[in-house]
Amino acid sequence: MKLTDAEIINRVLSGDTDSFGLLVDRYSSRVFGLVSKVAPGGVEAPDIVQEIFVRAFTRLSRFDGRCSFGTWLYSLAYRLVIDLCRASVASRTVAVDEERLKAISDSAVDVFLESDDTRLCALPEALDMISVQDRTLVTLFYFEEMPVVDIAVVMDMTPANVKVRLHRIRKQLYILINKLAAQYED
Amino acid sequence: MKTNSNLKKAIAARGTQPPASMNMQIMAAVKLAEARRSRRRLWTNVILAVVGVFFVAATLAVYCGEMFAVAFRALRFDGMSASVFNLDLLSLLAPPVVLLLLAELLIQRHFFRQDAAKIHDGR
Repeated sequence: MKLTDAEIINRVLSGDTDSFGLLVDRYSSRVFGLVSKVAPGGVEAPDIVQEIFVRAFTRLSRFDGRCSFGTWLYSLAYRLVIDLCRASVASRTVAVDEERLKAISDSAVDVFLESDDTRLCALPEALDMISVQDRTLVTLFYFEEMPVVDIAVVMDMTPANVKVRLHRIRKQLYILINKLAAQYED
Repeated sequence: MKTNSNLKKAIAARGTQPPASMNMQIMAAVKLAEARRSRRRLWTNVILAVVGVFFVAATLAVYCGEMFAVAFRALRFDGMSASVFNLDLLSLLAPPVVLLLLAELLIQRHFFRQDAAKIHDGR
């Protein structure tokens, strides 16, 4: 019989530390996936994942069940990654002009990102140039296919903010890809 | 919006495979954190117990001293009126009664919260 997350949490809280291993088995690869995708290069993802689970264990009594355990774990992961990467990310991210972002239409960006355009080979590099927060948002939405409401919980934002920011990130990526492609051509 | 396959592919390419021993290492770190927490809890309890015993002993000593003083004065009947004696006795008995009521209130509140949490969880 497969135990639910709530049942495992109750066991752990009543002193059965070994049961926490079930949660580790269930979520470690997903958390590792998120960390390795959003953290900048040079950050040891296994160490961060270990720290996330230790934090989850020590703060388990604070988990109130208002969201799923996975969402709560992701919010811990997000905060830890932000804390650890704050210094290194500040120097890498590239600011994009606000006026330029406004001038680009959403539909043009959507069509471009869905196309087979050769400029899209610069996409991985462009992803490296956006902030950890933005990369987390894109990863949770496009890769993990998490609902906007859950992303809002993880990132401590409103759902409307999440949507606005996603639009902004797509436009930002569009500008960065074009900029990188122009650099390649030169 | 979610069917952005290029973006999905690019994000997928960023990830790496977790090391095979990662879960074991996580559990070892969790056990270590648990041991550290138990040790800290033990020391906190010891310190609280020592401080608690000290305060209880000091309060009891003062209280017993007062009690003996009142009893002694009552036995000697050295001009002490019945009303003053009653007042003395009342002032001595009031603190433990108030403390008991407060303790009762706290215990009730604790159990009420536990029940509320159970109802909330649907247990």
